[in-house]
Amino acid sequence: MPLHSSSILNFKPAISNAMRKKFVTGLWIIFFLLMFDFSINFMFPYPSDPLATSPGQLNTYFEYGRSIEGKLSRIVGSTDELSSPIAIAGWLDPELWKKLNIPVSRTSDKDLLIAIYGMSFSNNVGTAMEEMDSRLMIRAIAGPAAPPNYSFAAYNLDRGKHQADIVILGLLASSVKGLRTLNGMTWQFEGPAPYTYPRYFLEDGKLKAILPHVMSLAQLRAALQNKQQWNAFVNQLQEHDQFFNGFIFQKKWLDNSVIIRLIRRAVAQRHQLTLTNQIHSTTGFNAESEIPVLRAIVNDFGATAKADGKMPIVLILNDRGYEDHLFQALKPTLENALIPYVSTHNIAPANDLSNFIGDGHFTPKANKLIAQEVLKLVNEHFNLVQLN
Amino acid sequence: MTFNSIEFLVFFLVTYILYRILPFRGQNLVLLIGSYVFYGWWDVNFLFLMLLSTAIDFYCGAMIETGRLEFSNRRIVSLSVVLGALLFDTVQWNAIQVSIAPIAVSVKWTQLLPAYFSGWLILMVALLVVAIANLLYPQFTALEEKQRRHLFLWFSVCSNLALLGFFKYFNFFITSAERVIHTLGIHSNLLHLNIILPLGISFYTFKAISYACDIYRGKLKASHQFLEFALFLAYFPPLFAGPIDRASDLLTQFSNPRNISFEQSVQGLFLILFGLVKKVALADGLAGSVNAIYGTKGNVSWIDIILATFLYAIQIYCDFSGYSDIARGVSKLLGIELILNFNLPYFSKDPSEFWRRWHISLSTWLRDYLYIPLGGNRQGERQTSQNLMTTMVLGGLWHGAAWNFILWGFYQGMLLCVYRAFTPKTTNKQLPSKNKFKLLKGLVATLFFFMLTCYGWLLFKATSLTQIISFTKILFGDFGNLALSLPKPPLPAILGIPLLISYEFLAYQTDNPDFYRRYPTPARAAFYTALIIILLMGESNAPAQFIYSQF
Repeated sequence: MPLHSSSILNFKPAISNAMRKKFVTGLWIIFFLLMFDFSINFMFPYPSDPLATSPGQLNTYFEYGRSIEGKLSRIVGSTDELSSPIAIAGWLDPELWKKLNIPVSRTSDKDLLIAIYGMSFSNNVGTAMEEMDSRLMIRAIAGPAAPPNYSFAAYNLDRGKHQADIVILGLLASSVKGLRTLNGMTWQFEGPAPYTYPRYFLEDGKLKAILPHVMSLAQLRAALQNKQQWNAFVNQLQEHDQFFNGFIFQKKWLDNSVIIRLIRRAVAQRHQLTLTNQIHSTTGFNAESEIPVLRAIVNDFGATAKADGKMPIVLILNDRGYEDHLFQALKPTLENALIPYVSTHNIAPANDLSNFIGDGHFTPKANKLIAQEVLKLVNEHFNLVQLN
Repeated sequence: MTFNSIEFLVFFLVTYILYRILPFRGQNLVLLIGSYVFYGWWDVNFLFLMLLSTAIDFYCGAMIETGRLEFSNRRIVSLSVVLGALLFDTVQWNAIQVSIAPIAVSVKWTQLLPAYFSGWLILMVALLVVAIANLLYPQFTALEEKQRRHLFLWFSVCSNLALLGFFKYFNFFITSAERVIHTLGIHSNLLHLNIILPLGISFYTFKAISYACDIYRGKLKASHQFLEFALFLAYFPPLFAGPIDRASDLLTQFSNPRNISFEQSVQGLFLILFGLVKKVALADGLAGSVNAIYGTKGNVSWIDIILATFLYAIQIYCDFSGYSDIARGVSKLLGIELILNFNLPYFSKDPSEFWRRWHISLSTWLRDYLYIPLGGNRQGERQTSQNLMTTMVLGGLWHGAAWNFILWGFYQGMLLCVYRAFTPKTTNKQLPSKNKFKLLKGLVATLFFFMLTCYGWLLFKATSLTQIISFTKILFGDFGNLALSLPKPPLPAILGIPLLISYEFLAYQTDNPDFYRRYPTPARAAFYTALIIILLMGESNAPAQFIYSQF
């Protein structure tokens, strides 16, 4: 037999042998992937108790990718007492505020009551102000990483329910993207907070609001028990919440797989990043995206607070990665409307790592510096009033 | 469209299927169209620039070699330049609106072609260039051989360098000149243009220069197939960040039918997986921690700089070699072999070895087309050092129009010169030394040189000269300050670093990057699974552009 014929004869078995080996390797890979999936679920399970808030770093890590509905069912218990703190936080519910004993008017030993609407960042500044000046009382209403529409809705809902002399609207740069949402879940996939708030839009230059179907934890709990109500809420999110994504939101049996959770987390990150990039880039906020709504919110806040005889202050919190972008986006509005403001960009710059702690919040020292600036503004204003 | 995007996956699947079902010539056409789509996805206007470069070098190559270009080829070159100018820079494609649901196409005919003179400028220039090239062709062919070869070599080199110089360095040199004038107390307001750097221009212009030089040196035959030559310059896997393959390696592969073996495909898939792990899990994962330190305007400690620079060394290696791995892997799936661009560079014991292992395609390019023509090491020690410094400073400048890259090149050149000065000239027979001692000496040399490399990365990464000075002061003046503010890297990066180090160590020890293939099937499968899991974990890192695609 000629040599070339023999080599042709040997060629096919060689390929099929190689293919068989690769096939076996492929089976082994599938086996190891399944082993990984089972063993992670076994070794790092996420506790089903909603009150277990610190289950360990790896348990939390492999849980990040669970669907929002899956996470909700874990954090919302049958009563408030049996629910996770994150499930209770931030609801725009005046009844809840009453229960929390947030001060309504200043006590006789205090000179000023300041109402702050925002998030943990603004709360921390409020606390620092209280510590620095014993004449002050703080009425703080906040939601976890709350966006400007939350702060504004909280302020509006609280109008006439307190006797504060000063109202502060806290705006966090990294939460501006939340202006496109109705709740704290869709855009904070890894650690969703179920509280809801209106989404604002401009119609003929005026602010209009879309109110979420669910406005309190009790309503959320009821909706979770009632498929029709829940579907109505999810449909509303699908229609009006730009961060909503069915694959990320809806619970499926695949939630039990670690690998699917890793994939879902990656999809969620890219989805959120794509939408965030439409609003903000390394050079600043997109002036055409949500900024006109934000400017209208700030204008409305300033005008109504002044009409109510209160001093409005806008607190611009420029957190890491946002430099002075929010300040630049709002500066013309604030100056035109003569609304007093404090921006953190020149007090505790966002590009100075030493101003932040590991979780991204300002350090106590930075909070004090910011509080000092707010107090300076307050003192200047009230001295001015006294002089007049 | 980057390698780690869904768009690329779809693009590659379509290209691959068409490639596999078509015959040889059709395959080249698919690859060329695919490459133009890949490039045009970023910016369609700059495709003309690539086409112009292709036409110039194709023309020059033939003129250097034989002084003749067939009529059919002249027609193709002329047509491609004119059509390129018309389609990529004159027609306003945004006048055509396509909607998917419902499927509809609407054309704003009045906006399809520019209404202003400036909109037609590129087409007119293209027509003028084509007319001149064709009119002067008889004169060119009549030139004396030596004169003609010189003329077209210089024309090719200068036109490529002019493209590179204008798009990459124009504003840098203007700004630098302005600064110098300012320091002399003279007020000046020089012309600044809003120039966008075309992606991959540093890579394809270098490929084009090497093509012309190799023909001039008689090392390569000029291509007579315009399609194949266009594919050589535009071939999509290495387009944005290399390797800078030579025509002698790549063009010959496009000229012959490819035979894609099963083994080659498997190797390709592994390289893609490994490259993606390096890029997605490690480079993108580490970017946040590194940028936090190098981007801060506030105070940082000694340990912050040490760790951030160490992580940057890993980040840039994973980012760049990850790109090369994916490019090589994708090419293997197409039956095309690209050269190895990185060969375990951090195991180098000296600067000379480092440049034989790091960005091999650039360092060999600089050696062959800059260092050796300058005289190499043939003209005495002083001239050799000068040549080394020139090569490395220009190599630094190639990375980007900024002073820190020049400084980095200068630093690398200095390391090479110092190393040369302290290395014995004659290679005496090495005395037999105890294995343990040799191993220890090698380890110390590797670690010491790694530290020197890391300081180079500090120069490379720094955002300003002030930062270089302040970081250097902290490194030497604030020694041992362990107050850490560096944000912790994400879990996939933390898991990926030891895996990468172990892999590279074993590859270095065995002198075989495919060492794992000798392992039993379950062990190999466990290694692949670990890579897949780390990749899945890393997919949630914020995706970043490949660092070298910006150069």
